[in-house]
Amino acid sequence: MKLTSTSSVSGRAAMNVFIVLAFFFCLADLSFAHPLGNFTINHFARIEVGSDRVRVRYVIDMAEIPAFQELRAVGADSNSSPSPKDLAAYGERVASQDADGILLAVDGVRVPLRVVSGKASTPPGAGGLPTLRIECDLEGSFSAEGGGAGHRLRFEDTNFSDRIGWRELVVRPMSGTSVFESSAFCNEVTDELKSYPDDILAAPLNERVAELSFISGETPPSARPLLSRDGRPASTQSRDRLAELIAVRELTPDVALFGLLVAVVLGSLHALSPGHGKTVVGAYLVGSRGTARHAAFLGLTVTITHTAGVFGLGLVTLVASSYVVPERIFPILSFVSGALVAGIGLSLLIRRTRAARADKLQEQVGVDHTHHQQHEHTHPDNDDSHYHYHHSDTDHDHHHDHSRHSSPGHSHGGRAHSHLPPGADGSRVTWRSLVALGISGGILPCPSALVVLLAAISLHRVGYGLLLVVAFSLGLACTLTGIGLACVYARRFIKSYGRFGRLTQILPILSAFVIACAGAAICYESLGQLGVNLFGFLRRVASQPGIFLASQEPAFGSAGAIGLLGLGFLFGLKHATEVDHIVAVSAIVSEHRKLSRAALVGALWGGGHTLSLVIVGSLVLALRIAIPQGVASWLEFGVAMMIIALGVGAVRRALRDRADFHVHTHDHNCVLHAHVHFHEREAPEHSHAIRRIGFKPAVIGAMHGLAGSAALTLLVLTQIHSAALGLIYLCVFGVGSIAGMLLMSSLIGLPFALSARKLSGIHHRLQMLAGALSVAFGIWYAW
Amino acid sequence: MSVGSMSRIRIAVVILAALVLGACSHRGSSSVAHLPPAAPSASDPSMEEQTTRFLEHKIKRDPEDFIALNKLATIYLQRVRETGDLNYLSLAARAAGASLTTLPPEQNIGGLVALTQVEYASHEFITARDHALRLTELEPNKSYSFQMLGDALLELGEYDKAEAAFRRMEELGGIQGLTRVAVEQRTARLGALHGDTEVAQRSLTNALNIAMSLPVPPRETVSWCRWQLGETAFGIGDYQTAERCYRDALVTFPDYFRALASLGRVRAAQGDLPGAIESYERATSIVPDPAFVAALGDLYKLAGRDKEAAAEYALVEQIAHLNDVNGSLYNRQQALFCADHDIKTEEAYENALKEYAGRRDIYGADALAWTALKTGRVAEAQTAITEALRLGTRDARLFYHAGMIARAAGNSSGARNYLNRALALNPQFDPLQASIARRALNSGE
Repeated sequence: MKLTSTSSVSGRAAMNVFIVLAFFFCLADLSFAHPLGNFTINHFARIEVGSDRVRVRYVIDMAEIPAFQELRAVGADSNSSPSPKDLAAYGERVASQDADGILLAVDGVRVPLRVVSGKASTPPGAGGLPTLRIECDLEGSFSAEGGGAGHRLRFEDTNFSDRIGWRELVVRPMSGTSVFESSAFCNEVTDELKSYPDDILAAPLNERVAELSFISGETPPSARPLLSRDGRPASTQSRDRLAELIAVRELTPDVALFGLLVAVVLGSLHALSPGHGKTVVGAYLVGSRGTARHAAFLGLTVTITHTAGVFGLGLVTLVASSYVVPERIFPILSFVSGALVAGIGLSLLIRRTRAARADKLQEQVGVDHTHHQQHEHTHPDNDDSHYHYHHSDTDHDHHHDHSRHSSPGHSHGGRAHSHLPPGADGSRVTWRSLVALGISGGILPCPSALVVLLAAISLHRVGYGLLLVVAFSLGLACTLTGIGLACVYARRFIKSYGRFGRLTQILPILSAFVIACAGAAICYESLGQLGVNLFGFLRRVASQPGIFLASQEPAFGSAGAIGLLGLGFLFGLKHATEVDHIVAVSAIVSEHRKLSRAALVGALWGGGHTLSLVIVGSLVLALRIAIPQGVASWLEFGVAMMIIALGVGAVRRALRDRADFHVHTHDHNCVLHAHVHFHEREAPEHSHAIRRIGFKPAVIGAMHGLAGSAALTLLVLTQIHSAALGLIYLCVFGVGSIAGMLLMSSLIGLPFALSARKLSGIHHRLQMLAGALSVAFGIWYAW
Repeated sequence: MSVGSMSRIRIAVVILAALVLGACSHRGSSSVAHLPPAAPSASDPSMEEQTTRFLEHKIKRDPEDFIALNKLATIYLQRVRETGDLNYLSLAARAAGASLTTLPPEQNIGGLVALTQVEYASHEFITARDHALRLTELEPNKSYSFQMLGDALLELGEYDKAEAAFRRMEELGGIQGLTRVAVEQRTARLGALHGDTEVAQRSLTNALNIAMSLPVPPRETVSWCRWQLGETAFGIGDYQTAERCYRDALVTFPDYFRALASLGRVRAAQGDLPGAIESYERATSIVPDPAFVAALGDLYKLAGRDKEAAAEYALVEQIAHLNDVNGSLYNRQQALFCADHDIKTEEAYENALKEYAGRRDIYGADALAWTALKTGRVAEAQTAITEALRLGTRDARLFYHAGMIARAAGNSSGARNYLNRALALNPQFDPLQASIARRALNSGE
């Protein structure tokens, strides 16, 4: 018995190996000489639109077989390759034929195309057979008068319309003309059919018709601009300005100085692009009572690190480019930076929460007779009152720290000193963590800085290139420092805004949390770039049958079914973390002050989501129909509207509730006490949770279920061959999404709950923020 | 608006199909005369394109999304069937491979199904059979496991086992429309192999009716059924019915290259040479399948356009030249072309022999017999043609080959018998070979 089972296991393993091998043989067999198969005729057209003429660059690439068929028309006999003279004559002849096959019309009027040039060539293909490449430049002119709103152009390629192959259309406006509302895109994929994408899984492009509007002058503001294939507007696809600096023809001192200045500006702008730890810097300095000096030091570290990073990577690229691919290094550096940040954030979080807890404990005890009394005092320099809590433990750390740092703004004559609550542990701006932060901000070299360096080396202007990089790094540092300074002063402002004295207590913890999250996010992102797919890993782990105890369940007849159900759960978990879901839920969660409520909101959302999924899924399973794309996009629009409404609601509530709290002071045993009171509209304690939360989350979940997940579920459902299994899968998916959202909403609710307990000022800000974010996201999503 | 009109068309098609079904079952008809009327396809190609792009985008974001990979492989395979574009076959292979490297077949039945189908489509029948066998172990209660097993076995010439697999497939097959279509298609195939035209026609008609009654009739399946009905009719010399079937297939699917080529052949059989050339020219411009190209060359030759004929023949050889890169897809067409036209017969024989070593189906035996005869190996040809006729298949081409072999072996009565059967069954089975058969028959007397 045992013996047979082992043998079957080994047989299975052998089978797997066999399958993988078979796959490779399959691939080997199917690897064509022509990347798209030797039967194909491939088309490329670039349409350049001007105000009174259209130029078309038209290329046809025929693979071996059609080239053979076509070349019979070129030479007299098919055995020898055609003479250059024949080929040239053929090129011109075929260009005019192709021009006739292109239907170009402006405002419905056909524009005939004239052949500017047409040539044919025969690049070698597989098996010693030639392929045929026809390149034409065509031009058509038209008189487009009037039309304040622009003209409509239609392009259709009817040449070889039966034949299989790649069909690519690209649109370019000539200077002075704008193209908008275009069905075609602005960027090329194949470099005029010279290199086909071979690494990706994609069916050949099939673009036969382009329709677009054009106008001389600027694109009308409401119109959809010309886009690239990844959905970016054509204008942002601009040149690399930094790299242009190095390529000036003559390097006069004026030019050099101007170049350096521009580099500083570009660097400072570059710092504003995502991924340079602006949030991290700000959050750190705010939470840690940083000073201007700290900010400046941070800037210096960033400059040095960034310059060194660019130099280092440049060196690696020059010396070891055959061993190391620079693209591989970027994500690694990014990961290092993320890990650094996450490490800083985590250690801060731990220290600060620990200190906060100690502080709270002490408050509860209410005894404070070690060496200071709580008291209210007035500063000589400003009239705002501060609440000072001095901790009772023997740790005098922050005092020492201050003497070490001699932070400006504090007089150390012994009268006035630390204003921070001890729980915040905020005084610890350690140089070590500052350096670490600076490194994390500068370690990721800007690719265009790298380009500059390499270009400088190739142009023998190494010195100037180095200077440019330093200037660029300086600019980068300026921005980061500026942000840091702004945060430092903003914190002081908040702090001096007396009634929010306790704000400074929660702020450090919050900022530590933000830092840790940002670091984790950077790490995750870079892992994705490295090709490490965390979710994929989880999925593989989950699909191991051993993990599911019920994997021998005979009901479904195979282990595959159990694996699939396990995946359903995982998919559900992952599904709950999609952006539109999180945003909607966070808007609701922001209304609640209790963690348990936040969790309940998530669970309710999941419930609604599951319900609608099961209903739609049953319909799909029963009728075997697919949900039309049109319906799905309308549903998504509905979701966007809903998110906006939720956001507006949250902002409104935040504004309304804000009027309802006040600070009042009273004394206990001659010790003055300050409390912030927050008046709830409803009594929160005695109501049934669900009734209080209402079914809003459930309804929203249902809406989400209808909209976004239709596609995902359908994918799986069409994969599953039995209806019962399909339904069970749906339910498991639902449970997964409930669990996932419960987790997520609790996480989201954490800052809200924390801030509600500690102080409501920040709570309202958070609430406002959540609301505003949700509105913004909704608008973007709808658009 | 388009959704509305589409659903209206759908409803119309459903009602039509239901009416037709009702009418058919009422009469208990099995004849080709009562086929449902042809209708343009209600499936929307732009939606298919959208789905493809959606899935490709999903995979770009998550390269290990094996479910999307499997789905994509299935779609690519469907495109191969529809367009004959082999690029999609390599894409399907890549998708299936990526899916199976993400997750092994035990947890990834869909990936194994896709791989098996890719192998079948690439004529890797032996590995396709092995993987189908694995599928029947993993999913022993699913009809599709046995469908794939049977298909691969059939191509390998293991007819008894294939029949057993198809029987199992039918037992397991549920009430789902597409499964029932698949069952009927296999029954038809077995019927045709055993020379039972009636069974073939009845099953194909059933398959067509079921496919038409689906909410959205799959256009390739519908057109395939009609094309096969045409092939069956052509095989027994019923050229009018055949032509009607092909034209109906083209109504649903205007670029269906199989039906286009067959239409050319049946027009040639009816004496419409220019029409036949036109159809073949369109078919070869969609997919230059060597069999189509060779047939077009034959027609040019008949029309006296020798130069064009020579060019087409040269193209067939060029495709053969690329065959190493193309895989073994066109080996058999190639061998038959060479034997038919007495060029490179030795090479053709070698290829047929090599292929028959691993794949012992009756048409492989026929190719071996025919090339063996052309290279003077009469005894070997006799053994091979006996193998080819072992199922009792009624195919004019097999009879013609058998007759010519018997003639070469000196068995003139046998030769007359076979050649008579061929010409009685399908008088114009091939524009060139039919007249050769006729001449042989006359000279023999």
